[in-house]
Amino acid sequence: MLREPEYSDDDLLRRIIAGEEDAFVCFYRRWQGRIYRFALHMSGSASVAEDVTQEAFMSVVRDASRFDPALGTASAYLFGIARNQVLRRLEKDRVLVPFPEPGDSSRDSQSKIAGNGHRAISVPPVDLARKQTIEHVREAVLSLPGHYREVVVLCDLQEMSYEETAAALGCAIGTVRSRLHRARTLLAAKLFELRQAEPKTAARGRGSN
Amino acid sequence: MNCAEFSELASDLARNEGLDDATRKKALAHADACSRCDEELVMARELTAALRSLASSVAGADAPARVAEFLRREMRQRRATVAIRSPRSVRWAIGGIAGLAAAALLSIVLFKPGIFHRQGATSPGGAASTAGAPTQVSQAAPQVGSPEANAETPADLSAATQDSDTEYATSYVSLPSADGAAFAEDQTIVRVSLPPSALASFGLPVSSDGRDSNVLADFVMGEDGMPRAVRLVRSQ
Repeated sequence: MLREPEYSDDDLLRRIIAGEEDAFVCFYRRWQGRIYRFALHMSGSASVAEDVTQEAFMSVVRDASRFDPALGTASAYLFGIARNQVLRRLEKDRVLVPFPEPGDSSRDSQSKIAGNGHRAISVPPVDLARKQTIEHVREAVLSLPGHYREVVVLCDLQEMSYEETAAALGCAIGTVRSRLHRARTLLAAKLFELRQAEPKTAARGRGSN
Repeated sequence: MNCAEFSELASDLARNEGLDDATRKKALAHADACSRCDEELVMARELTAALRSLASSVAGADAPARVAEFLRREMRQRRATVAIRSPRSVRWAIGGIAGLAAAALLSIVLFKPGIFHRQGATSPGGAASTAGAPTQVSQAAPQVGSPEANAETPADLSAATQDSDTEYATSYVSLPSADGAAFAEDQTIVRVSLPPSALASFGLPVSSDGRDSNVLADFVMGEDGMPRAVRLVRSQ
């Protein structure tokens, strides 16, 4: 088995093209988590995230020879594939986030997403206030238009630099910065709206913590 | 720095990215002096913290193990294909696939002589390595020897010219290695000569009517060196 730190992504991709399974396993382990979480944040669906991850790496298995180090990093190459897969899937499935009606005391994205035909995102047991905040933020992120959502996911949730994000999205750094600024403004407004609509029961629960 | 300029930088400031030290100090100084901008910065930082909470809630989320298992299986299958394409065995691969296709076509040829089309002597666009035998293009190329769904007659191979060296050829038949790939105008065509007796080793029916002479076949080669389609050729 190849030891990860010893090989760059470019090395691994060259070995994958040559048919080395170990290289693929190494590359997969290095990137699958980030690709999966990117798709998870983008879609709000674990099943979509799974499909996107599989398709992104299938593209590597099939067409790794398309990767040209002169044109960008392996990370940008992989996120670019995943992004296209996500957008295609969202367009196809029309995955919509079920926003709660005002006064809906059962606001729980797990059950709502599951009700949308997808497996739920598992959230570790945390205190109610934090869980409520996370659900609000999740809903707010999913409410963003795709081109704003992806910069938030990459920059703020995946903690990629502007440069890395620009490479993954195939746009200028200035575009990333301006989209992120606009996206965060929209997010703040959406969060405010969600907090205003927060049911009193949840507010009481938070107050008791 | 005024409030509008500060607002443009509030996200960068909250995320602590994309600002040089001098700009950062100016922005912070403005926030200290302007309560409205200071409030905006506080909100931006709260948003950053909230987003980090969301990120941390799925920090350990990975793709299910079945994805890795599926991909490894696919990788092994691809590796097997690569092995077939190694220099030592490529002749066997081409011969094998050619044999499969040739056997199927041969049966048709032997029992339906009229299946060949009259050919001209000009090679198709980009055709190469015809080894002295002029590579031909079929006329009106009827779909012979395979169902339409599996047979692709490349448009560039359908144009015909004629001269005195008349040949007859079947239409091209897609091979399994074509894998749905389209034919391009500049693909190489290779002519090979196959003994019919060799086809029996592939478990295919071979006519035993005494025809032991080799069969000529044209292979459309893909960029990866694998044959995409084949046709049989007969010279007159």
